[in-house]
Amino acid sequence: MKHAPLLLFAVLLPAQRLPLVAIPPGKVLLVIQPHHDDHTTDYGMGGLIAKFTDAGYESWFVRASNDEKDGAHGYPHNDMINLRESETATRILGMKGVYSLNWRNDYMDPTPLQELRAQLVLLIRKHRPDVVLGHDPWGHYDRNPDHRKVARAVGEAVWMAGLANIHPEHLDSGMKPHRVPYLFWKARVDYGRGHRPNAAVELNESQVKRKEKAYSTHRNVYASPSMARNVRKMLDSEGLKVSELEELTDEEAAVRIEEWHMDWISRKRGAENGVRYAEIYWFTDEWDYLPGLKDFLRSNTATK
Amino acid sequence: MGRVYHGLASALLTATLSAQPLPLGKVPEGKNFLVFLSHHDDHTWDWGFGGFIARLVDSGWTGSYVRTTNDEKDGREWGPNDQINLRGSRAAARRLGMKEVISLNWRNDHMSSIPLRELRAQFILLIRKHRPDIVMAWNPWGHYDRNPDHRRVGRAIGEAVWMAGLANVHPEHQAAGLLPFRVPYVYYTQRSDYGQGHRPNVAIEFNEQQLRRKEEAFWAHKNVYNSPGLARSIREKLAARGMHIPELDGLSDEQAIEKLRKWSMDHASRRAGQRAGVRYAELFYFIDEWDHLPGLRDYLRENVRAK
Repeated sequence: MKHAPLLLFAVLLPAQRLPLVAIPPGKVLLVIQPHHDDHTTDYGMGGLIAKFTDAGYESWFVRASNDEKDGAHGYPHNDMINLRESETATRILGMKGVYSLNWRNDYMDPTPLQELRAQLVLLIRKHRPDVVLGHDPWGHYDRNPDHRKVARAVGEAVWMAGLANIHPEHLDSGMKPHRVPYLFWKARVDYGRGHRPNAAVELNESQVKRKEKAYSTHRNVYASPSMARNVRKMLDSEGLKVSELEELTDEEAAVRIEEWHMDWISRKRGAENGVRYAEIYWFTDEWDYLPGLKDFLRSNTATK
Repeated sequence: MGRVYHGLASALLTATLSAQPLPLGKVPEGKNFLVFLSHHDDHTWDWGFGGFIARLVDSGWTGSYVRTTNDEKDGREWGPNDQINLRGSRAAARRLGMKEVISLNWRNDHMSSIPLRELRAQFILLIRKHRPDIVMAWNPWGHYDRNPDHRRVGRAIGEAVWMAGLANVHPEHQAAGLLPFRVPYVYYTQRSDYGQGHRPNVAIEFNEQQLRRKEEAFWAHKNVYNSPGLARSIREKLAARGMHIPELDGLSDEQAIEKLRKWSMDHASRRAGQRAGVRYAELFYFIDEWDHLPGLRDYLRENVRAK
């Protein structure tokens, strides 16, 4: 935690205004992420999930790992505590439930991609989502191996679930092929090159509040007092301070910083895109995999 | 050697990437660095990291080099190559002022199939043992690198610099007395001439004396840079196309290669320097300790005041 000046002068990428996208027509949403808190972080997707709920969507959260490393209570306890907090967070966002696939947290590199993908193909065929939310499989500079593994599997599953010749055993169990028409990918754009959002989603105040509340339910990992302590010590050694933290305990200061950012990022993304609050994504629709057809229709469709 | 240069004419016509100015990086506070790369000579190429390493050493830092493969394919015979290349690597590291070379001896050019998690566990252990303030490595997100060993090592180190700080990851290390440690500063590079993918965000300046050490370190790998043969091969290829290099005319192959080796390091370092308005530099993708805490970074950027 040395070197505050280095970070304070870091240059921000120039923000271009993105098109605002509406909630696509449909009624089922599947959110597929590696960890208990990935659907509620500052850079997405809590606000968007709340917006889907408000539009009448029924939604489900898939947690791919067991989150055993996240927290200080020991592996099996972390797993269960984090799962319960995840269930609380999804309820706040208006979701129906959580599936936990329980792959080993932080060790997903050797997870067979095809096995994970088969699980996701099955869940997609069961729930037949109109929209899937996940990490961007092509978003760079994410050093978390679970994020990359799950993103890769989701990126393949949303398409392959629609192919009848893939996992035909599912069809014997009464499920039918289903290709997911709409996708929202997220990634931390501050990581650097790689993820370039192409769409912004406007949020209202109530949706932002629910996002913030859902995030803060992850008490097991939220607002570490040692972070606030280290920051204040570091600032102090360089003759710097944050006025509003002066009278607070480390616990209160950590919470203050977390709350500040959750609010700030929604306002910042909003301001960049001409609205009050927003989140940003890479959005693809059902035509993106048929560019020839898309171009043909765009050029040749006329009203009767 | 000849086959390497059969594309010389097209190389001469290739347009160079448009160069945008880059900020000049300060050397962060610290005292210990580790360089994790695949092969015996990866730390000494013209596009990195010799100049930066020499500068850190001159500023009082100590550092070690981690060679991940056994380099058996680089040179004439598998068995001897391993040991000869390791000696070359040690000579190069010494010239740059580094402490030691740690060799993990994975099979050269065959790293695609090694378990990523096992390699990462080795890196995590070394990070926890040496507790480096800086790590240098291939950019895991640098594209168009066709060397499988480069990609494998880049991927593993990209995860290890962060995961070494998590107490719940490989707790057996703690039983051996090694405490968790997150690496605060990371410098990635990649051959930017490969094309899209690696976009450096910082330039690191170094001086003429450091440039010379960078150059000598590169040519310490005698087993693979058989110098006079390279000069002869280049001149033969050019002659076959009716071309020549005036300043090499009349020189022996030994004298010609001497000129070429000076020129190549000088040229690459000067060209990188131009990006930041200095004489010599190397270009990196730099990540600091705040990059994993964007909320905290944003909060401080907006709210910190002088006392």
